[in-house]
Amino acid sequence: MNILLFYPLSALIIILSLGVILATNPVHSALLLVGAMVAIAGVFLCLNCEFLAMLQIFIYAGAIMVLFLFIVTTIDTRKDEKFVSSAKFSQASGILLSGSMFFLFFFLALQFVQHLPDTGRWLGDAKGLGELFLKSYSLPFEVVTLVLLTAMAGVIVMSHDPLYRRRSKEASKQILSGGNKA
Amino acid sequence: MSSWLQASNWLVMLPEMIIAFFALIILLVAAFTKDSEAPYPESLAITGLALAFISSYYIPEGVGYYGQVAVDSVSRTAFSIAILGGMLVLGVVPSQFGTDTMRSETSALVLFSLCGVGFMVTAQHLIMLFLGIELLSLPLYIMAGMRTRDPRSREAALKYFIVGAFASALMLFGMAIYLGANGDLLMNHFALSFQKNAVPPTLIFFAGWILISTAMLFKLGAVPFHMWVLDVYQGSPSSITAFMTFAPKIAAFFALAKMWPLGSESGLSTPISMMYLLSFLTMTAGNMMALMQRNIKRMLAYSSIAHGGYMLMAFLISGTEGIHALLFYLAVYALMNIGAFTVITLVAPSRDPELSIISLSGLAKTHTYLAVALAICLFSLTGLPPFGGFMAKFFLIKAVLASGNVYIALAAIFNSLLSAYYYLRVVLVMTTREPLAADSDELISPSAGFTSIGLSSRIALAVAIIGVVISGISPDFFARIISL
Amino acid sequence: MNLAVVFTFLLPLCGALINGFLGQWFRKDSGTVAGTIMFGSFMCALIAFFQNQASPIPSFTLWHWFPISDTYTADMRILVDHLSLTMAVMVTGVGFLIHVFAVGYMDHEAAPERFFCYLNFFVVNMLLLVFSDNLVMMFVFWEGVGLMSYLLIGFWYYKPEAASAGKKAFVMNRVGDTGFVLAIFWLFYYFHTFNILEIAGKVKELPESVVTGITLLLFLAVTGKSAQLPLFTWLPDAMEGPTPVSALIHAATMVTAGIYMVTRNHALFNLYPNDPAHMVILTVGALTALVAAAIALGQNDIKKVLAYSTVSQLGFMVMALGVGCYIQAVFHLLTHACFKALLFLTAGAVIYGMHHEQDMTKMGGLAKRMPMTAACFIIGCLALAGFPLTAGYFSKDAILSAVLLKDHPYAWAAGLLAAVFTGFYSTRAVWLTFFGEWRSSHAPDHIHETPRVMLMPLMILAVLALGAGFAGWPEGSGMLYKYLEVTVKQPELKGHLSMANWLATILPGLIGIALGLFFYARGKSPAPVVALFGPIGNWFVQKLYLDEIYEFLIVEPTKIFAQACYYIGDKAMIDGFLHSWYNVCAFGGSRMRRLHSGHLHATLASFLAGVVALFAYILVRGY
Repeated sequence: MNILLFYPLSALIIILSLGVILATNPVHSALLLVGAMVAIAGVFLCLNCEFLAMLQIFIYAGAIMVLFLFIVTTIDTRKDEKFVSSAKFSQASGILLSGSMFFLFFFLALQFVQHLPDTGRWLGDAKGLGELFLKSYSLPFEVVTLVLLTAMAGVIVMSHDPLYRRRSKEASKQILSGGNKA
Repeated sequence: MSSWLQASNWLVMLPEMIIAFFALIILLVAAFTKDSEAPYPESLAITGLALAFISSYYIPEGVGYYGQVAVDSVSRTAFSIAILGGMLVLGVVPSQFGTDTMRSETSALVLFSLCGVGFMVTAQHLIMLFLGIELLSLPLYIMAGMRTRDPRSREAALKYFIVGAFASALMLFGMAIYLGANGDLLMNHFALSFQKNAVPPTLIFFAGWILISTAMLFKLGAVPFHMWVLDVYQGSPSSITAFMTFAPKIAAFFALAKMWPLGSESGLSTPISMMYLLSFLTMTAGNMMALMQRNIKRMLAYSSIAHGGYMLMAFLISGTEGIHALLFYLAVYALMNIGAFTVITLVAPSRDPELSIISLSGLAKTHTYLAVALAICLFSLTGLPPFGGFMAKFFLIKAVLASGNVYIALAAIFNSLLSAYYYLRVVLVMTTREPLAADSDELISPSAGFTSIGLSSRIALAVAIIGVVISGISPDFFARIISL
Repeated sequence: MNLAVVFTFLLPLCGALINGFLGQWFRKDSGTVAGTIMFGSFMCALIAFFQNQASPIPSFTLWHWFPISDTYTADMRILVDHLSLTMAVMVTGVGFLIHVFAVGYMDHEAAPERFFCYLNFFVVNMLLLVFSDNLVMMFVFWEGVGLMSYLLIGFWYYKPEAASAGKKAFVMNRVGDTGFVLAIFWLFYYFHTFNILEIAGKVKELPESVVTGITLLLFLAVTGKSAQLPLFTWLPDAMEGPTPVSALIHAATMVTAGIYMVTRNHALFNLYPNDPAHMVILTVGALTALVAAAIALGQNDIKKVLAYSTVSQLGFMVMALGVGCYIQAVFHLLTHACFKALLFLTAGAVIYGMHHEQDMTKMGGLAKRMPMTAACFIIGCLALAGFPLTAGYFSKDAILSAVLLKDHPYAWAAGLLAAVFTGFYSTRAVWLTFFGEWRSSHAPDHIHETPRVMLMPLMILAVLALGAGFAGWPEGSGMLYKYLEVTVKQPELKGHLSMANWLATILPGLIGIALGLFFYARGKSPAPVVALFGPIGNWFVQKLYLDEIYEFLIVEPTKIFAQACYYIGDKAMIDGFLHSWYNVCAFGGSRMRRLHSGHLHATLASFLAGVVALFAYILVRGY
């Protein structure tokens, strides 16, 4: 692992992620997230996981984030400008809790270094991944498809508007019957 | 190919495969038929579940798919409870959604969710557990928001989704730490670390363990990870809420059982006292909050939290007795909740859609059978004999006492006493108050509705009530039904 | 598994379910269904009775209920022996006849299926109570018959008196049941079993004080269920229910459950026959017999007279229990079931004929209009009064002579006096109802003989009321004694009664009848009695002032005691505890509710706080 590259990249990830949270303009948030994704891909590269780094950029930075931006730009964001909660209490408690979480994990990270076991060779390349997917991880691989299918069904259900459909059906019926009469 | 089949021992996942297959069939059928002529998708789904249930008789026990999953009698029983509950819920779904076109999607989603339960209870690898959670939860998020026109339903879906994503993120983080501590994601490290006389686990291990367990505790609604329960239970369509009360609980409890030391079998005292506290907090807070509720669905939501607290006591018992008591409890609990929410589903259209408890006034006069069914469920939830709820609490508390945890057992008993206040208040409202003016004009014979649209839901209700009664009168017989 | 026995109680259960769920579609025929099913049940009981003549078969398990300790499982177990079979035959037989009668009696009812559902379900509970092999099961069905009694007393729940009478019966029975529960726990504490036969086998290990305590607690349950002093007042009120219910539940079967329960546990009661508990039982029985008979003298409501007479007869049975003569008690239980069911049903027939008029002072001369009914009533009254060679004569005589042979002359004397009263009020009831002049303001034209469907059961019961006594004759060695001795082991009675004593036991009934005739048969209406006898006659009309004495001595102190209990026990302690517990929790709940605003941040914050707390816990405590 290239320490020299890792620390700047980590710092970049943290800064960009903070930006995602703090930016009030959703478009800015999304763009900062793209940056964070790219930086994470950099970390993967440091770990010799070229394939994962590529996927990270292709799928997250490329496909998903572009979709995000599409949606953000199509909806009228000005209406929802009161995006950030104004409750002082919840802000304070949020900062306090995240701070203590950070503290705890920092404490853990110190331990981590001492206790890190040998994880063996990481099969981060395409060939290794293919072997894993089709052999010992064949079941999770299939289950992922189910999850994705569910998500797809979910999109259909959530975007479905019974009243709209009924109205359009009635409209078409009227047109048809009107046409018959004529 | 054949060697792969042999090595993977693929038959262990047969019930899940059947369920997923039927879910796909339902989606396909829905895609190629017009809305109005769709055959009853629920019947297809119930058939699939019945096949899965039967097939679980015949599948071999043991490890499958290169150690990803393992089937044993406990996981099989837990899954069959979920399947049977799912069948009942699917019976109720038609009267909830009526002529709505989303019925086939709902059926498919219920099946997917049940698949998730199956994967969670059998998972031996954290990746499988995670996927199981997602497969279980995603359909629930969607179904919570099924009534797209109702802002409460949309709110429930969004809230459930965000909190669920938060929990998943924490779990993934925990998995990363776990991987760091153990070198792989196999779940047997939990059992190995908690063995007696094992090398004490590292702090890192505990960090991962807490984060992963937290996700499970969140799913089963333990305090303080419980706040989503209220709005989600209230906002979701009632029949879906019935499903939400038991399916995630079954999955989470038996996933948790694989990663938590049972009783004092490990030499460690911290997990025990932690569970002690969690259980006490959950049951007490649930009951206290339930006292204040004026809305029946919120009341039942808090009551389900409280029951989760009782069930957490099972982790204080070493050996199999606690797990068996838990299985029995979950089965009875599923039936009670299905019964109660079915009545709510059936009553809601003619009453206050907000479903305040007062709106059930005089139900005993207008819908005698429904009122009796609801009363039986509430009596059982209180833990009154001769209903199943009593037996469930009896077995659990007896096992807890035998394991030497007197105080928590006493707390559970006091909490049950307290719960009588809010459960029986509903019964009181149903019987002693006059029907509200709005529905006194539909004062009809007690059997009204037997022949109306809700036939399948009435059958489901009858089965649930019979189950509640039988489990109280002959728990042996009941246990034999559910444990195959 | 004994099929005949199982079907005995399974058939009424099916009947109750059919009538309960499907009855509304064949309203008119629901009584026929219930009656037919009861006939089947009766036949099964008879088959079971004759099949198991030779050797009692061992009890069998219907299903396991739940494990109570490692060694004991609460089961639904059926105990088949001579005692339970005898009771089962009586319950189903009388039950069948009363069902038939009820078909006629309830024919104007709007929803008879509810009535017959309850009635069938009562029979199921009663049979399972009788067949119980362990005390838990017995208690469950003990409560079951109590519940059905409550529902049936309050069958006409829209009448406020009926509703409150049902409530009263239910509440007063709970007082007794507390004793039952405590006794059960006490026994379990010693033996780790609820099984009656096992307890009977081990009972010798118990010290006398414990046995006395347990038997007294059990007897408390008896005073509730079998309407003894001081808990008997619910029974007269229970007459608000339909008359078939009074006949079945409040005369023939349920109220005798207490007698049965003691007989079933006779091993316990036999152990120390001279302990204080037996004195209490005997005294309570004798007093109840006397007081209730005295109260019956002054009642004008025909059903009230019969109700007090039931209490009085139960007092006789309890007296027999008090001297350890269980078979005599069961004998009287059986004959009483026959003649009291007969009396109630004839009273029902009269009330039916009179269009729900129950006041005897408004009747009179009915014998001309309904001769068969009158004949049945007279037979029943003769049996009740203990007229020689009727059923009541044999059983009452058996009890009184047993009491005397056990050397309890005061109880015996009280019994004799009660018997005099019994003869008197029986005669009075007969005369006021069936003889003399028509006293109501309405014309009697519409009154005619009872319909045949109601008359048939009456005639069968009349035959039984005349002949059933021979089952226990000769005394001590009759058929019934021989049969029950296999199951019920009771100490033998020693010695024989002298002729004078024997005469003294049969004469009171005759004296009572003669007195009744003397006072009522001469005049055409009851009023001249006062005129003739002045203050004494006034005593009779004023119900011997016993109501007032009773009110002063028992009701008022009971009320005060109840008030005290209510304020000290219920309000201050139980409610105080529960309500303060509720208030604490509700307060806590309302505090916590503020946190549950439903805001997403609150949800996530509490989530995170939980995680942090768990972490901190591990860090602080270590592992």
